[in-house]
Amino acid sequence: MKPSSHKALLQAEGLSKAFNGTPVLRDLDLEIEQGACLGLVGPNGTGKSTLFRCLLGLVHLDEGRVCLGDGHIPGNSLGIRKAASFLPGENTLYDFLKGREVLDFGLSFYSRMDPEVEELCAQAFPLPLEQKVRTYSAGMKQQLALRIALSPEVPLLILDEPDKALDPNLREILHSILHRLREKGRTLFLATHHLDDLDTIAEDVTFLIHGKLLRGEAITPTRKRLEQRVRVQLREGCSLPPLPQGVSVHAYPQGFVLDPPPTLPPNELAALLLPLDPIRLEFGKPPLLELYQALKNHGKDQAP
Amino acid sequence: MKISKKTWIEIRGMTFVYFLLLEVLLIATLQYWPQIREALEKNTGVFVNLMPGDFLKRIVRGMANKSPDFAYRAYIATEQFFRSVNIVGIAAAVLLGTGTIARERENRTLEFLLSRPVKRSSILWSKTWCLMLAVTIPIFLSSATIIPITKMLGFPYQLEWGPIFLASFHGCLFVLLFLLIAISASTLFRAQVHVAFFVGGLIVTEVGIYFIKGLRETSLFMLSDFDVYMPILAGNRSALSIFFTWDLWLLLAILLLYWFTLHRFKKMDL
Repeated sequence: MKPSSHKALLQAEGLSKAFNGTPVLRDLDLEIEQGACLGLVGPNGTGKSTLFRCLLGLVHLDEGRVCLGDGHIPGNSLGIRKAASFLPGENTLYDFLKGREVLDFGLSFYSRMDPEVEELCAQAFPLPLEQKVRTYSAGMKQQLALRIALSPEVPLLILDEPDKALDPNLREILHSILHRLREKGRTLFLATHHLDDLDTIAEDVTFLIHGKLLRGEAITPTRKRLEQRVRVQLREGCSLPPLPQGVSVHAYPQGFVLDPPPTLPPNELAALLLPLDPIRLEFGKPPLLELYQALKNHGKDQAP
Repeated sequence: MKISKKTWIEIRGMTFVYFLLLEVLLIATLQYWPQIREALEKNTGVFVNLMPGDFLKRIVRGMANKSPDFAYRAYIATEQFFRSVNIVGIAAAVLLGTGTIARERENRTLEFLLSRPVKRSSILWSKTWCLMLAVTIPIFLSSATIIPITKMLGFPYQLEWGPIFLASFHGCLFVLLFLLIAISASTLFRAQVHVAFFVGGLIVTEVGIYFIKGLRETSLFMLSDFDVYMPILAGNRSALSIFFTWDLWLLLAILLLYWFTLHRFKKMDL
């Protein structure tokens, strides 16, 4: 493993996995620092769940290795599963059991529970635990799965779409629990398609695109280029004023995205639009969705 | 223990129905023995001639034997062990065993199970021993009721616990062989119906071979037929001779299948 300046809780190096000859993960490296919250973003079917499964040893790697903290023997997936609680991406609960039985079964494998989080979850996700799981709705099943995944006192939580099937109110409650877990020093690695939410939960985001993780320096050029963009939403009846030469304009139902040439700072371009009193005028840090789309477009990312 | 408990909750209904079926068949069978015995005594030659194979003729001759005790034992060897254990026991083993891994895969609960901090070998063992008990205990329980039911029906025949226990033990091992075949196949296919088709096909082929003269000796069912159970129930075979003639090999086959299943399960991806 490469030496790191930060204390890494989980390190993966050179992970490769193919299914029936189709590569899903290609020589992928990953490092999650202790206490960090790392978001994983990627289009459907790019291998987010496969990555989680590889980290936990649920799927055998073609190449590469996964290490947990200091002194962990690479390849000891049981050690990783002991230190990590996992929320699968699909509602994979035993529907012939009662909610209480599933909860007890799921938690019985862990030696310690976090009583505070357990209580928080019980209050946030009240469920009819004496009923069979087959009578639960998709949202209720997800709440039960969350109670099982969040309650154990383990250093790492790997959550595959934790906000799936939850209503906006429950999503907000979930975010507050995740924040509390972070305050308690837990490390979170989570995937979600709600990118706006991820922006508020995760301090760092990594993109899984074409079997590789793009993070940090790898996405800096795209991020910098998007930071130069000006996003504007004009009032009804208004149109864009004449723009300096070299500015490319992309129209969207929600407004315009303006790409200035390198010689024109975004604030100067924004100043030209201010007299129109626009509904929205933004530049600087790009929205996660825009960054994700730009990276997904892989080179042809002139516009999100 | 947790996985075994979960497995037990999953299969307890089926196990109870399986036991009930064995018991109902046993009671119904024993009840009709006087009429069958009478018919056989009067028309032994006709019945023997009607039977197409040598082994079926031996069964009829056994049940028509002049000694009432011997005839009754031949009847029990045929009805309880050769028929009920082989048909109902194996059907239960297939139904329960085929779902061991395949149903978890199909219902997508395998990801939840495998992501728990527990070794795959523990998962397999916890499930297997629970299933082993579920298919064998009803055979022992049902066989254990033969003597009380015989007394309740007022039959004067002398039966001993030892031979019945030995026959049950042998029947259980034979059923366990099919349970392990089903569990092994459960790691080979993703859908339980495919596992059932594979194991069912194997059983039908084996039964087919059993009825083909010349090939019969190669069928697995030679290990669990009238010619095996009759000497046991007649008290002509000691426990040691039964063990070294058949049961040791059955045990070795079961262990080999378990090893294969464990190897497959450890290598298996979701």
